[in-house]
Amino acid sequence: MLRIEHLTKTYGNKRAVDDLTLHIRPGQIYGFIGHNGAGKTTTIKACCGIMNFDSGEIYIGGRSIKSEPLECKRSLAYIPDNPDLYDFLSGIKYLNFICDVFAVPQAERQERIHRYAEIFELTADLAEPISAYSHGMKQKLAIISALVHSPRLIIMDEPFVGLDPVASHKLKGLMREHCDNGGAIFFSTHVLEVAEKLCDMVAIIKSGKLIKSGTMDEVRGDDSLEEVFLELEEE
Amino acid sequence: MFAALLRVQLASVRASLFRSSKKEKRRGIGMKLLIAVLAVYVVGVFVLMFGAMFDALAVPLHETGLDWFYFAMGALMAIALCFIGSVFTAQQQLFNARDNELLLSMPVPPRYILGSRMAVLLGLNYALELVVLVPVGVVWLMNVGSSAMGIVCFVLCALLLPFLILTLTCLFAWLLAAITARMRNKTIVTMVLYLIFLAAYFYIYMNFQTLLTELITNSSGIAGSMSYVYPIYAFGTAVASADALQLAAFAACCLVPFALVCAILSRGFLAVTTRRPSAKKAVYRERELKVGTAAGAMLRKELSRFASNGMYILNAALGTILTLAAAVALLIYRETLIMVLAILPEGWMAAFIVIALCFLCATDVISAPSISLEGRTLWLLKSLPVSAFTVLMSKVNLHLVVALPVTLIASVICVAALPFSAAEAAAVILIPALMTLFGALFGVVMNLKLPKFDYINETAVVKNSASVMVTMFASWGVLAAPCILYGFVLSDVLGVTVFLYICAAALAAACAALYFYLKHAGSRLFMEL
Repeated sequence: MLRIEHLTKTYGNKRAVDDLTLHIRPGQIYGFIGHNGAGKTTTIKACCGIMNFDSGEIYIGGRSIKSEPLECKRSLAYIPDNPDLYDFLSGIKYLNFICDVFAVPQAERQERIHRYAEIFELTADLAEPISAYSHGMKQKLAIISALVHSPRLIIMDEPFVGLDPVASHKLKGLMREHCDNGGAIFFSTHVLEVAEKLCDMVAIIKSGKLIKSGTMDEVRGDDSLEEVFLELEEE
Repeated sequence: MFAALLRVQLASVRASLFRSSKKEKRRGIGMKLLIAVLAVYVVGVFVLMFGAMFDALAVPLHETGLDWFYFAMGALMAIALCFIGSVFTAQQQLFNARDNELLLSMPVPPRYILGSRMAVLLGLNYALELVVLVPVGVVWLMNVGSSAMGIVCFVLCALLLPFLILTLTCLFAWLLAAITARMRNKTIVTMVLYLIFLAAYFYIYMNFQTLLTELITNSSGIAGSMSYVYPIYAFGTAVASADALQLAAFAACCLVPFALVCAILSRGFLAVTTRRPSAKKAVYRERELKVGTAAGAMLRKELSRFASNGMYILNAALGTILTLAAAVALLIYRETLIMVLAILPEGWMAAFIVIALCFLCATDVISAPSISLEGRTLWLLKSLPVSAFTVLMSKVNLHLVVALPVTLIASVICVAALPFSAAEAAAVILIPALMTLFGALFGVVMNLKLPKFDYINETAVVKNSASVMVTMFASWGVLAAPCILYGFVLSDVLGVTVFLYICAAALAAACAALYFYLKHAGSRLFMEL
């Protein structure tokens, strides 16, 4: 579903991502862990076609993000770490805008918006301008907008930040459901407990380099993910 | 602490002019030079305009013994210019700045935040005031002369006057913020107020000669009534008579209300800036959603942004508003205009109308800040499955959807109201339309070259960003160049209508070049932003 091969991205003299290779298969929830400035967001933005990279390749569903960016973007959804959306639109207009861009048929958009807005308890607020939303409501709207076009791959940067416990719980359920239906999820998080419980696979990145990856059991062994992470960080 | 806040404010002003947010690079020498030239040009135009106005007033008023009234008029004009020039900036700077909540969360007294912003506004008022008072002083010295004490009084009064102006603008801005803070649709209130100012400005401008004549002939009567506006009277008397007592009175008129307003605003600052709309919440009722194309959705999104911001509409679409007003005026004053234009050589009437319409089209800069306005939502456009070219063209189309219908209507009204040949009529319709298209494409190209994403409020982008200024002045330059070329070189060789069609061809070629630039290099540039 998502194949990152020898990805390298530099900012001036600094290598933000250094020869990173990862493979996320259908059905997998893949956690991406690292300290602040480790290169997680850069990797994620490169995967979404938001940021150019120096070398390597990224394939989404077998297509290169460099040579076929629009086809790749059609099959993925991106939820950023900070949900800066169009404040001048109402929630429903924003969702309809996303549906128009992704060419979601009328019946599907109606049904999906209803379903996800109900799940995240946002239905009544959809007529309000986004500028009146709280951070958590914007985050919920960003999540709904990612789900309404039914992408095969969802890439999320710190998706649980700003969500209340109920919404977090529901999001975890939806993530599992998405992968059980053949989709894939690649997400970054600092909440190691969430990663440990939710992820099938995990990758730890430090200073732009991949230092450990594999199934959750392979990475943590007999320890907790937190212990492994702290140990690797100290090395 | 106050010094630190002031430094941040000044850095923000400096950055809006001299720093591109793209890769945090400083603007090059060429861009700085261009901005300086544009500033000198604008200041020069205003200084000459006020110089000519006060040159007509100085001697008649001196001869009728109304020296004080001359300076009072200067003060009044400075107040009007500063008020119009800074009131909306004051509202945005003081009460709608994006960093208000951040600063209020810090251990900073609200009066310091307010004070640092008022200091910047005071600087702006000084700059605007000088544009009026320098010609007022110079014209008086050249025509009448003054004592050393008179000059000292004039300088001191000029230093004091901005405090009075700032008092007025801050009070008005506070009132505006207090009203709009409770409203959902702030755009309408801002637009109505702005249009009232604009109408007043144009009323004075259109009737300037009549008002000036009336002022000179009835100066005693008008001066008598103005003496009731004491601060203005005190300003005039203090300067004209070098009267220290009046100077002290004027200082009190400026500084005491200023101190009071500062005290009142610091108390109300927190309440106004943190107030949330109290209007009834809109509850969503599910209904059938309209389905559209991706390009249509992008355009609707651009239109929503445009309609949501009164300052964007009024600053960037001023040309469209004026074109509409001009078209209506033409219908009303058709006979007069035909009479006036009859003095032009044959065929030049069409050229005159084309120049006038193109000038108004070039004043529209709707597309020029449109990429900068994406700000923190730029990630969204880049992550969507739409090409960069579609994104850029949605911004071009926004400009066209807003400006082109009005331009075409105005052109058709001109053709219907004035006696043109078929070839002239076609040129009157074609060239302004091409100029609108050129402005739309050129604005997006300029914004790609000069983006600005690190603004504190959108007004800074719409009013002061480099892409807006360069687009507007360069478009005027594009208009001026063929006029100069024809007037000085080609008028003996080419007929004016033929030259109009050559200009149309050149404009069409420029539009095609800009279109292809956006399609290829421009699209690449957008993805690198």
